[in-house]
Amino acid sequence: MLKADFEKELWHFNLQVSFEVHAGQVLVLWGPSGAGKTTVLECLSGLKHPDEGQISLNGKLLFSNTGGINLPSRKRRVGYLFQNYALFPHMTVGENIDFGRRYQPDKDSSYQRWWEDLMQAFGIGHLINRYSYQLSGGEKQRVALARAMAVRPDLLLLDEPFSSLDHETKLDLRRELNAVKKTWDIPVVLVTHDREDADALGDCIITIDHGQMIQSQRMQTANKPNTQICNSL
Amino acid sequence: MNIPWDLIDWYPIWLSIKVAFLSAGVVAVLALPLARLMEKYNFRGRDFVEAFVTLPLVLPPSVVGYGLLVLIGRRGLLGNFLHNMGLSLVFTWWAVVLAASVVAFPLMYQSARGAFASVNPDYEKAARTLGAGELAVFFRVTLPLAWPGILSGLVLSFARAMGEFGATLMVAGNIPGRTQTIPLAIYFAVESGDKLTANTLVGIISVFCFALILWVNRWKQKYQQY
Repeated sequence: MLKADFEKELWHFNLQVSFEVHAGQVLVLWGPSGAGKTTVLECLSGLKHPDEGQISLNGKLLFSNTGGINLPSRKRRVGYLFQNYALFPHMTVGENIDFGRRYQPDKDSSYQRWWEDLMQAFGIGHLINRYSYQLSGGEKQRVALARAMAVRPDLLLLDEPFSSLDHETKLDLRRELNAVKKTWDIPVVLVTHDREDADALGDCIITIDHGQMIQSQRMQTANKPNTQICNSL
Repeated sequence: MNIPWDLIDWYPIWLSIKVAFLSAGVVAVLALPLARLMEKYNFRGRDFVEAFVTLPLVLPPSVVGYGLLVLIGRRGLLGNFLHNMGLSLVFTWWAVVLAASVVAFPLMYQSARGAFASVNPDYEKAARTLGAGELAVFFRVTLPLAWPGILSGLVLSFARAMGEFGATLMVAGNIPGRTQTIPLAIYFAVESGDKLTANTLVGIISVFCFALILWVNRWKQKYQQY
């Protein structure tokens, strides 16, 4: 379970969030551009650090200003899908997905199986020798997601995953994402300004504006209706 | 035309190539980390450092040469120290390397700075979330992506080092067989009416530089296909 409760002073306003997300649940942060959504993801992943508060994942503290804890990104085991995918242009698809392999504590056969399952789940096995400039938008998205998942993360962060895709591809990928998220069983935080994406994927939707959580809504379709899900605290 | 090859002094060619390679190496080793630091960190006095390291690009080479003389001349700050240890830099081929490195430094620095700035920080962030430490981020992501710009800087500084004249003349003089580089040799050959040497050296340095630039441009096109 991911628990986050922190504050960060930004250029124009103060970002203040507080929520928890269970394994297998998708929390959507929905709001206009510039509301501070991406900064939340950057704080969760360790790319930026909050001014105050705490972030914990499965009981382990990732950040705590009172405890003086700020785990670097590379030690957080967080999968991060960037808005423009950030696929390394000088590497092939295969090299991109393999980038994090050498930093994995367990490079054994179970990792190999995980890797093969990923290639299959995303249907990208035929792309491994291509470069990112040779991929379509949907393919890039799949590859970037596979790369984020290749490090066997304990938390998945998705930043506007569908913003640069056409409508058809978007529907396909939404379906796929809904199908695979159940098998991963980790908390997912998704940032979007598109209400349709939010409704289609979220178990819980938090509306953010000017750094403040102004509304939170649990979805009926939540797949664990009887348990406590992604509460805003 | 029958060229009497044995009448030509080949030493300047050998020295110029040696100096250009060494200077480009020295400049790369110093300018790359500095460019990276200046790109990444904002600190007090950064503007001053920036202006100072760019100075040799805009100052007349004779001013740079005079400055170096003040520094490494026998009564200079560093020169005095070296003299007490029984060493002397002025009028040796090391002084040629020093002069060439100082004038070439801003070219490497500026190219590297621009090259690092052009790398989208999202790639570096992605590498961090995938488990890479800062060194790995630099060598696996930043450096390969900045490489075309860095290579341009290397070629520019190599060429600048090879063509250096004014500062070299002031700190190393024109000693045939010791500190005489191609540009110096050409100048003094023309002055003394030795057309054979002047023409040969001009031909060699022109062809060499042309081939170098051609090769780099082709290589860059191949590398930058993405």
